[in-house]
Amino acid sequence: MPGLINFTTKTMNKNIRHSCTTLFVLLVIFITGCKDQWDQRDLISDTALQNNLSVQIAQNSDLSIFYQYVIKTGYDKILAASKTYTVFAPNNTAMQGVASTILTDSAKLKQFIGNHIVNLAITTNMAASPLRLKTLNGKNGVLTSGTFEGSNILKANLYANNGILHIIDAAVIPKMSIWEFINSQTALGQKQIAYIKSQNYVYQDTTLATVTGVDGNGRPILKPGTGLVNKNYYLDQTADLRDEDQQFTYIILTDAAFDAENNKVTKYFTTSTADSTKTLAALNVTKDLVIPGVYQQPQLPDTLLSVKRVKVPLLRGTTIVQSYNASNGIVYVMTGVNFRLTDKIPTIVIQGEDAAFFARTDRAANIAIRLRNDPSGVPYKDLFISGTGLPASFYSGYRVRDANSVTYKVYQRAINEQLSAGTAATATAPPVLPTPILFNQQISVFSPFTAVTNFGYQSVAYMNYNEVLVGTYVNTRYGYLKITASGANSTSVNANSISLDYLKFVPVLP
Amino acid sequence: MKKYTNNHLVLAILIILGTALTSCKKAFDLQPKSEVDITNNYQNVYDVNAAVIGIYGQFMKLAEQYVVLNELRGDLMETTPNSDKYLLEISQHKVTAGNPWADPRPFYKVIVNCNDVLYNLKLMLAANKINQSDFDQRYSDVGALRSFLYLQLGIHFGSVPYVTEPLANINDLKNTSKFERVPFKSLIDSLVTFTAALPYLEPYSATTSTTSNPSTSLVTTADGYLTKYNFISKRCLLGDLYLWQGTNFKEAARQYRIVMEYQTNNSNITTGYQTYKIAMADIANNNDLTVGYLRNRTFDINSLINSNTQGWRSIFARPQDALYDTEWLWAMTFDSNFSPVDPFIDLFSNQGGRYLVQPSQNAISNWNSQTQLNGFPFDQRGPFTYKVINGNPVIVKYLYYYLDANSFAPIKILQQNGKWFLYRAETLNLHYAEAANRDGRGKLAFAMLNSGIKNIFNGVYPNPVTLYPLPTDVTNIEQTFDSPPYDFDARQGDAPRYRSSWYQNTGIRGRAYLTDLNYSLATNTQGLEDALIQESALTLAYEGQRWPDLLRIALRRNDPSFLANKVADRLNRDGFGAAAGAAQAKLSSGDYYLPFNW
Repeated sequence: MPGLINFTTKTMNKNIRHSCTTLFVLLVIFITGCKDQWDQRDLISDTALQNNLSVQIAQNSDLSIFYQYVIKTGYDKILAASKTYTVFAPNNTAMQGVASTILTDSAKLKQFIGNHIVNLAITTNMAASPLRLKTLNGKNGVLTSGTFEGSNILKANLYANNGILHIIDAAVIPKMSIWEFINSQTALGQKQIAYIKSQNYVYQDTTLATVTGVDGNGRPILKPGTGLVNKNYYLDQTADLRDEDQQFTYIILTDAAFDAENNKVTKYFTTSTADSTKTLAALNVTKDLVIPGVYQQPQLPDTLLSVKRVKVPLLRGTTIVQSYNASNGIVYVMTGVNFRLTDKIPTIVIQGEDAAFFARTDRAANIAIRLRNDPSGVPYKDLFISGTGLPASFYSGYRVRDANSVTYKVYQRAINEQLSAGTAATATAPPVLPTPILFNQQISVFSPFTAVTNFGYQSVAYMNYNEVLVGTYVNTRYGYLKITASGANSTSVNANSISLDYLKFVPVLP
Repeated sequence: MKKYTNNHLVLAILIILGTALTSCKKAFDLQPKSEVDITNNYQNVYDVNAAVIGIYGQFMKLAEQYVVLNELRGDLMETTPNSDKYLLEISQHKVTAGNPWADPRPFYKVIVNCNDVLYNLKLMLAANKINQSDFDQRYSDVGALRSFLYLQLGIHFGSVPYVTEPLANINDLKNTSKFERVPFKSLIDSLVTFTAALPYLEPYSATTSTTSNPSTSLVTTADGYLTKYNFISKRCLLGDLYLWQGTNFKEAARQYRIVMEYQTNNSNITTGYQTYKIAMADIANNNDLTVGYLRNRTFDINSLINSNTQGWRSIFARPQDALYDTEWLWAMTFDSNFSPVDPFIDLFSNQGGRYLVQPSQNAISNWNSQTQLNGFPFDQRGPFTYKVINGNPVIVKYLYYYLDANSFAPIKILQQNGKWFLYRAETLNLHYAEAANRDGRGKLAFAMLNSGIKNIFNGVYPNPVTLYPLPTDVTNIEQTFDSPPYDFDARQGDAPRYRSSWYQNTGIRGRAYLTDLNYSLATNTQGLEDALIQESALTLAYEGQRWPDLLRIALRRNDPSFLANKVADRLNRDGFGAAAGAAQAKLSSGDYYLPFNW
């Protein structure tokens, strides 16, 4: 047995010795052999990735014309920077087709070159669904998997160490924005464009202006002529057609159509001067020519909603004279848009609970805003004024800013829930059940230009959920109206109450 | 040379081994110096107090699971897009193994500790280490809490092992050969027997039999909060157990009634009139717990009493003051100054929490189908219970201590204070009414549910008193003329003068400023029971009552559809049509329970 043990130990020792030798050899190989590879672990073997975009473009002989203008506009320095870019570079054939008016005008050239550069690394496989990319000139370009702004991508996804290069087969000429297009038009739609241009104004932005000092009240004194910003009232009231990041469909009416639409609405904007009427009517016509979103011609629907939520009936007895794909949408020049007058001269609804003022400010305890469901289960809020201490002829008041010069039919919905207490039963007589208590209230309309119109005190029926015609109001001037709902000239509780869910001013239109 | 070394090694190992084996013995016999050994844990009443507080501390960790199981399985709470698959499983009644919400072990963990305390308390009493009065109070409290936990386990898991001995390994419970599963019905019988026999069913006494310093009483103030609201109300639990058992409704009512009368003889008469009695509104000053409007302006939505210190909303927002005491029987406090962290902010809030659950469409339409006395077409308790914050409907009942009273933004995002709402006067009154209704007292139950005892028992109801005036002498009206525990006196008169103990009772719906239900319910036991359960959904929503309510009635009537239809309706209306069918089929077959598995 000991012999056996000795033998195994010897064999084991031999084995271990062998293993040690093997291990040592391996170690030596490992230490000596790995050295170079380890040091090269971060070496870039792909030569394309050793160069930035600027160099990449310069080295590509098919991009030599493009590169020439990149240098001219100084974009070569930007493309050599450490930010990340994507360049859609037109090849030489494409560049030869670019008009010399662009290439010789340094401002236009800068716009043009900037239109091909995006401040992001984008490969074509990211554009499975079209991407709208902001280019360095502030415009946006649409990338699909095979095209950029309609130009075919010939060579896609060429890497550089600061971005990606695509070679395209046609130069992408910067498009005008809708606003630029409007201002550039000299033939069609001149009347509408003249109106829009007339709404230009300049104002001094205090945050941009140079401050020269502080006046006695602590307000900054601004240096004249600094911080001036060009604005346009029309854009202020509709949507900013200059904004490259939004998209609109815009309609320009031909002069005949513009006149026709204006003629339809002018009489509803009667004011003291013809000029202001003209401007107001023009605004009324044009405010609904701005439609959010882009609607290309084949998919152009029958009716769209304008930014002001008014129905725009397109293509109903009208034709498109011209269309232009702008950088932020599409412009159609049309022979008309047959707006419905009921959409343009809207019904005015005044909610009772939205009172702007009351006869007195100290009667809050009498004023209640009630929450209710009508018999069909539709929730509504109304105003109910009642109770002890309510002065005679108390009223709630409302303001309307833009009533048209038109005859209005005035309706009210007022729900009278008043019930008497009833009479308690006695030993000899049964109880008398509660009965409705009616009350009278009056709607009055005040215009700055005419005497007050009182529609007279009218009884408010018990639990009547219908709209009741209060009277007809002829508004002679466009603009401001004040309306009141007054209680009876009494101080008796329940007799001088006021109840109003809403008032409706429905214009009488042809 | 090699041999030599080997021998040395063997020798060394032998020496080390030898030393270790011989010398360890004494080391193990040494008592630990920084910790109390288990055999020395229970030496005096302070040790027991520490154990009781420890158990309740552990119990608090069940808060989130309790609310999720009891509400999300019912029809008032719904998942949100943030909910994970486990919450969806609970909500849609298709729980799979490994669902942490359906794990019974956290409950058993507390139960095992209860068993340990109960066991050692008996040893201490035998060894005269604790006096009888201290023993009775603590033994009953821990025993009742254990019964409460078992009731919860039964509600959710059906058949569970009823273990009353100290237990070493919780995972053994899964082994049915070691621990027999007791069916829910037998479990309730055992729980009734055990709980009813507890030696002490009142709240912990604030006074003590000894003059030890510090006081041995568990009723004190800790970290700025009164501790008395932490402990289970044993009689409420016992009443609930009788209600579940369904064979002795009178005994259930009797237990509830004792609680209702706890403060009746309080030297402060206001306390006497109001505590647990659903007192009427303080019309002049609105210092009450009712849905109310400014006096004489009750038709104006802008005059709604909507604050953290007045009106119904303040039940869930007020400090532990006198009015709080009239309502709350059991509510545990979470505070950022001590552990555990309030789990409800994470569960409910979309500001500083994960917003995992929201009110269901069913719950919202329940509130919107009520009418207030001023004609407003909704139950104001709805807007007090949930609120649309940042576009999402958020259950705010649990968030009033965390959110700003007006802006509903967190006061301090990390200062997560809140409460676990377990039992309050409305729970008590509704459960009493449920028992009374089943015991042939429909009119009394109707009174407590609607506009209160004085009104319903005035002799002319349902005619209005404006048309049918009451006599000046109210001696013979405004009371139930019934035997205990149904004998209520709610007289209020001036000639002769009466201000009986229940005259302020305004009923659950009266407190919510809602119109009474149809009086015909007073003689329609099943219809009134439906109405009571419906009212519980309106007022106790998200307080962990809904699933037990539905299950209790479904079991009592042996009618699974009572529960199944409501759950299916919720899932359908919340856009889980496919899950609704499966859940309805499962529940309709009487398969109400979660798998007892982990």
